[in-house]
Amino acid sequence: MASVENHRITDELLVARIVRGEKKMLDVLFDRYIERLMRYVVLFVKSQEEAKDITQDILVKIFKALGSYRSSGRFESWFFTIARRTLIDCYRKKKLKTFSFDSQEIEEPVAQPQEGSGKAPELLQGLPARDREILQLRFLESLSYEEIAEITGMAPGTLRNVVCRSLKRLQEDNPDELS
Amino acid sequence: MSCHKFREWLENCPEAGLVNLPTELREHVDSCRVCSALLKRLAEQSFARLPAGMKAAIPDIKKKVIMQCHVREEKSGSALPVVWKLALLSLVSFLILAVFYVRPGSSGRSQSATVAEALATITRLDREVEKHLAGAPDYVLAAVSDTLAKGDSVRTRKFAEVELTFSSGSTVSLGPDAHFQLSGSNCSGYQQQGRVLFKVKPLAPPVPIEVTTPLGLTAVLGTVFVQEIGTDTSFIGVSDGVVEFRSKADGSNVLRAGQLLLIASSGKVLDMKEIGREAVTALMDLKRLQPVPEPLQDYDKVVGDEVSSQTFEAMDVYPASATKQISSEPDSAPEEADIEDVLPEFDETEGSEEGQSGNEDVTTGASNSTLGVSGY
Repeated sequence: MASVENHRITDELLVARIVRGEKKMLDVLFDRYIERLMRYVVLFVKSQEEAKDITQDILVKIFKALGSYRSSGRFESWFFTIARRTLIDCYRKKKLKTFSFDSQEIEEPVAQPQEGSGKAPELLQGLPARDREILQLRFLESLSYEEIAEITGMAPGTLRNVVCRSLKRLQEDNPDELS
Repeated sequence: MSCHKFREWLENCPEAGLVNLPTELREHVDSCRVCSALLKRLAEQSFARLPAGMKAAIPDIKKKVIMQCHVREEKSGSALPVVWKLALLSLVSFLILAVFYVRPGSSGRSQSATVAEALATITRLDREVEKHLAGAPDYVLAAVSDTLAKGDSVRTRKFAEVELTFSSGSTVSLGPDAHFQLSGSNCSGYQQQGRVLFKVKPLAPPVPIEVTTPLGLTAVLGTVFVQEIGTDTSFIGVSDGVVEFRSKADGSNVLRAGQLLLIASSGKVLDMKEIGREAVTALMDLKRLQPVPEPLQDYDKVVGDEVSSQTFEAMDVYPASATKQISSEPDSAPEEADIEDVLPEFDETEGSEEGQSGNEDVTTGASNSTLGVSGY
């Protein structure tokens, strides 16, 4: 019963309850975001070990910073902003050896999909990492262009162009695969 | 309808819009295998499996993350014998029940608020007063007997008034158009705007009481004073005890009973006058402020009533030159920090476990945290 109730709680309320002392709610927040974060991390990090470590670091950082989250913006946006900045920080500090933000360098994602629905990531595989990131935030995380702009620092207009270009490329490059 | 238009729609569709395809586009997608497959694949992305190795690591990551956040309460208590655990559980249950029986009015708070320690209770309220529980998305109407915890705020609308009473017996009364956020026990908090009357009863042993404002920090110990944070100018008046105001821009000033301190919006101290306790007490009458639409924007209008205007004219507290000077000062009131403001600060604390606590007051927008006062 409690888990059903927890499922209905918005992220913002969940964070408010954690900040107020309901530490058990961290479990709920963790479960809600872990796979989404992993999918985001493996966009840029090739090594699974590194991906696991950085995922852990990002979550610790975010959980410790929950007190500074302000409910004026969507939690997802805040969450992925920190995730992205942490990834870049770690890369700059040379803590990540298999990180690549350069779209040309990424040829294969670390996430080798499984059978069945696991084929889906292959669809994006041919796209540059930055474009895949934008598509993921747009269609998986259902974020608006303005929210993605906050996370990536790119202009909403540019983001629209990237989405348009990527979709066109997906259709043109994978007609057989798609059909 | 072409594939191009379908892509165009995908580009502009609202959030989570993949499932809400317009009818005309649906017809195209049904007839076009490429678009149909593209839509299906994009929708499937959210169900895509992670690599088995990554997924298998989730429980381990969870354990480590939770441990690092020091939230495994049961871990710290695992060494206790079962009898002690039961005794502790009974005690906690008893305390929770006792709190509910003693304060039946506290039921007005949200469910999440019951776990937070109540610092103050709304004991008097007139007209439209709103409260904001820390972390909640919006303000809601406040009511008498509502309890407030650390980080909660109250704000008054025009002509409204509210009194908060702390466990020590200290009271904080907000006049119209005022805002106050609780940051600690016994009157400590952040006063963003408006006129607020503080009647502070000291605790034993004494603890520092600090009221932060956009202009600086007011430190007190057992005193009665009023302070107003206006758009252009602000003031602090003391009727009993001692108050120290530490300006962001202009050092510190100690005020004693009967003294009034005028502060510009930049935090610069304009003047300090001995106006007497009666005049200060007149400023504490929050009811008299009610007909005044914009406090302290114009001194003559602000003072408004006979007692105050006579007092100030007699004391020459508000010379015209001072008013001009005040209005020419740049407004340095801090704006609310957004996510972008917060994150760099967060990043700076990276690598320092203790540093995270520094983020706690970011929601107050208090750039004043650099000011430190140990109290008297």
